[in-house]
Amino acid sequence: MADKTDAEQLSIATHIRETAFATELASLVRNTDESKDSDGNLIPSEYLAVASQWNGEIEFRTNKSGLSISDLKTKWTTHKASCSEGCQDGWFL
Amino acid sequence: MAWTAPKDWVSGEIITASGVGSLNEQIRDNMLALSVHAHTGAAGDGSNTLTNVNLTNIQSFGFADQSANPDALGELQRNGNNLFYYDGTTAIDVTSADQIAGTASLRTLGTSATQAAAGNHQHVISQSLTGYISTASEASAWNGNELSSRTVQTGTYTASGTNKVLIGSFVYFTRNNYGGINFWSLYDMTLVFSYNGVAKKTVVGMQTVSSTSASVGSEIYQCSFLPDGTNTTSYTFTAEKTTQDSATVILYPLVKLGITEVAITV
Repeated sequence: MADKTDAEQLSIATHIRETAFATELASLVRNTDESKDSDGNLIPSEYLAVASQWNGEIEFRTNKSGLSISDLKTKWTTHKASCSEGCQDGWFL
Repeated sequence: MAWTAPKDWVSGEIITASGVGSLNEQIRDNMLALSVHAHTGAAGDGSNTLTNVNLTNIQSFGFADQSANPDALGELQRNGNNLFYYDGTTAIDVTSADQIAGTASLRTLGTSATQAAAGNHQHVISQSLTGYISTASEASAWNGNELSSRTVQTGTYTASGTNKVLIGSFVYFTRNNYGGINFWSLYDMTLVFSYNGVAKKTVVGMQTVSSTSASVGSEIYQCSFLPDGTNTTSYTFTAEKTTQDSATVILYPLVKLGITEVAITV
């Protein structure tokens, strides 16, 4: 399969993050006001990043509490099986 | 039983049982001789040259030593202890193993130049580090609610030879240089590492903050790819700020980018 283009990499990463992981994305706890815990430490914001690369490999990164990379892989695999928006076009974990 | 040349019968001749020209000699004895003929080429024993013969259920062939190689197309002939076939050009030794490279022959199993590797043989792949760069850089800041892409680092890399693999890795940071009020905000970034004008790795959703107390960075990302031969080839790292907030910031993008070159040999 041909190498993935710049546009294809951006498109699939955005699609997965905003569509396949829409629920997880909406539930991220974001520290928008520099809140600190009782010890005075900054409370980190939760993030969910999706990376794609030239050979079709997909990678997930998150620090969301209770959400593992394995969870994300399982969810995307399920999503991919019925996705008609590009996930089946040579993308893999 | 010896073969007797058949006689010519003449009219009125008396047929006898035995003796010269008798039925026993002419019919019985010659039939007995034919029943065991061995193709020696002698009279009554069949020719010692057979053509257009299909042989089946052969038990064995015994080749007599001709002390010479065959020299006619299609001939198979023994010379000493070896059997040779002449293919029209060369007398090929079909019995000696591990002959020189380029000569068809039987091969023993092994790893020398004239042996054949076993079907389950394995190669040992060795790797060595043959090149490495690691560069940190910073681009101009996003001011306030500006949304745009910044080229944070550019450079070139020249592979040191053939059969190399490049591993690109990067970690990305931002720092806020604005120390006034309302500077704390969250921002999403899209990061792209490109080589030879083509994206190799794209990260969507990297999150950073406009803290002034600490730089905030991504996790380390890596990707491997083949170099552009040994050409001096450009690479680029860009960061795009994709979300905005109400805070006033002067947000600088920074990247630490490395390219590791690994030689692969078998």
